[in-house]
Amino acid sequence: MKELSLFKAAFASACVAMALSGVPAAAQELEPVKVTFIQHCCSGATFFQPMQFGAEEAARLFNVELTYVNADGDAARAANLIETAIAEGQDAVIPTITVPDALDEAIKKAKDAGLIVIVQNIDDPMGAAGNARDSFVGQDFIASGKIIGQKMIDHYGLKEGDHCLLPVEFPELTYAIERAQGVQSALEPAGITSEIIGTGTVDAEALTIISQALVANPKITCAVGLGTTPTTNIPDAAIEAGRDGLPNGGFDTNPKIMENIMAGTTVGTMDQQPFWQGYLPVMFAAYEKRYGLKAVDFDTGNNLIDAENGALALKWGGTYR
Amino acid sequence: METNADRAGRRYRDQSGLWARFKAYEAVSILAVTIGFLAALAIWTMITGGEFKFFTYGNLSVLSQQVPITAIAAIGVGLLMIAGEFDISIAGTFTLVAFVIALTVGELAFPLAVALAIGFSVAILIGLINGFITCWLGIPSFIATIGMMFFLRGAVRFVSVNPETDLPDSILFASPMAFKAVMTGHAGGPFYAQLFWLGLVAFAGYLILNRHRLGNHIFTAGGNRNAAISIGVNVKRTKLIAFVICAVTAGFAGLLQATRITEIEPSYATISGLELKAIAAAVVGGVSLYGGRGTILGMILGAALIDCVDNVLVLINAPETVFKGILGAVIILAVVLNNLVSRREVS
Repeated sequence: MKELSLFKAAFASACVAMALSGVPAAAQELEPVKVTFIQHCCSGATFFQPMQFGAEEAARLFNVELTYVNADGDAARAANLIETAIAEGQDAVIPTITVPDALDEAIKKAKDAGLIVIVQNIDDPMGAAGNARDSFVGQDFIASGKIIGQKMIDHYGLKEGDHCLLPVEFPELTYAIERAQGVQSALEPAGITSEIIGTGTVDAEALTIISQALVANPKITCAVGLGTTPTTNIPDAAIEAGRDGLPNGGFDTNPKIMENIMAGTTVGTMDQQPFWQGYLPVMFAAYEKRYGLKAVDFDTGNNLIDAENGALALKWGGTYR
Repeated sequence: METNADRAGRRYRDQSGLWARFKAYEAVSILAVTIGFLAALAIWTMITGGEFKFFTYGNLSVLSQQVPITAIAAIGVGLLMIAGEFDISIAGTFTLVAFVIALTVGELAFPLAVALAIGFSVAILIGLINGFITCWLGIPSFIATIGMMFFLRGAVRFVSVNPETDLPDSILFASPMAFKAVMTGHAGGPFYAQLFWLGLVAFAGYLILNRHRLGNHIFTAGGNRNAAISIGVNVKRTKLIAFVICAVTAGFAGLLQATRITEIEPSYATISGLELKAIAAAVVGGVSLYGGRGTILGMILGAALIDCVDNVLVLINAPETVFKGILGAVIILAVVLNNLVSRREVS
């Protein structure tokens, strides 16, 4: 009996040893993966806080040496930062394609140098066919635009003859064009017209621009902010223009937008979940570098946040939301 | 009364011997700062065992494409500052000229040579307007060019409207491959063609400032306007020419950038901060804010210093939240060091 017990113990030990030899080491025990994350603009803007938070959290969890830099809204600087990442010998670079063709050459150089290239937040309008990037992590702007446009119609009873203001930070950038297309795809079949104005990223300036547009154009009966800054400022601008209660909705989240939604001042906002746009590309880069798992396109969501589901977004604003 | 220009020239001529003349050269202070900076980077590279990648082929390639853009803009701005004036509208000129050229080639299908002529005519016109408002209407250039800055931002948005969407849109600059190769192609090693163009602009600037009567007039008009008038310098015409040179160099820098990245965004006129960067580069390089003093080499080194500091901050992974603060502090430090070294030489 004793011999049988010893045999069982030896056999069990051998099984455990074999099993353990196949278990991957924890990320902290492996060589760090070096990643450059390029935020496309607006240092300090609240929209990007969850994105940076997500990138840094993924870097901690997956043992990534993260270089987080800002392109300051300059495509040439973004190209320089990609090439600097190549020079530094990074394993991956994670840019944003705000202008369709400006980064094609830099991304190709990065791919030729063996870097993993994952685009976040804004993709080339032609998607994977537009440049050499490996994958895109971000929102489907057109689909999300249609959702908020329809929400505006359903909630406020917008009808033929109504005219919506669509303020956005930079009307010429891809995200603005596609979001506008999405919103208009919901509004136009209902006979609702719209116009777009640029507001920049400074809240005070956006507030002034939007309020002046409302004062100057009485036929505006609704507003859909196509970005964080205008969505934040539409309600206050409406008050300044003597248009309290103007139907409004928008895109993205920050504490002020969430307060407006929970107070019923704004109907809702399309959350593109920037935390995922920071977290997932860093995680994908780590796994592709270590295990060869290819990064994939990931739609970070067309999550409509309204008063019914906004409590968590309000609670975690600036970090996870 | 002796002007800054006279003092600079006399100091330079009165020194005997090559070393003495070198020490008297106005850019020697910024040269010393630059050499000190590069030496510090070299030491840091050795300390880190090569982990610090500043002197790598790839990084120098990035700098050889970026520094010429800033430096060419700084040369134009610096030359105008020597003449005693400012141009805050160069980011708008930079963007508008590139847009006009791209539109003329792409939308209007004109030959590239015609597009370049039209584009640079726009630059010349901007310079002439800025100069006229400042010199003939007597509006301080700081104010006049701020007005022009806003006007050009609007002009850029106007010309950038996409007829399909009726909205401002970025535009593709579909330059011929040969043109792209000449303007921004790889020249060998870590060097790109932009460096050649910087050399050409710098040489032209040097000839104007130091080998032509116009340069004497620029120094004199900026150093002491009344003295310049009394000795027969046409100050208004001199400054007008300086405004035009500033606008043309800004437009040329815009053309180089547009050729490199093949696309121009209208928002660059608004958010780039190029005007402040170019002025900072000129001041770091020793150009006096009060006029009458400066060198082409100093302007180039000032631009290189600013872009290199920016590059170093990326390489050392400086926190994004303090990036601008550190860059600003370094610029101030460079100006202070430059002034200290200059004062030691004069004393």
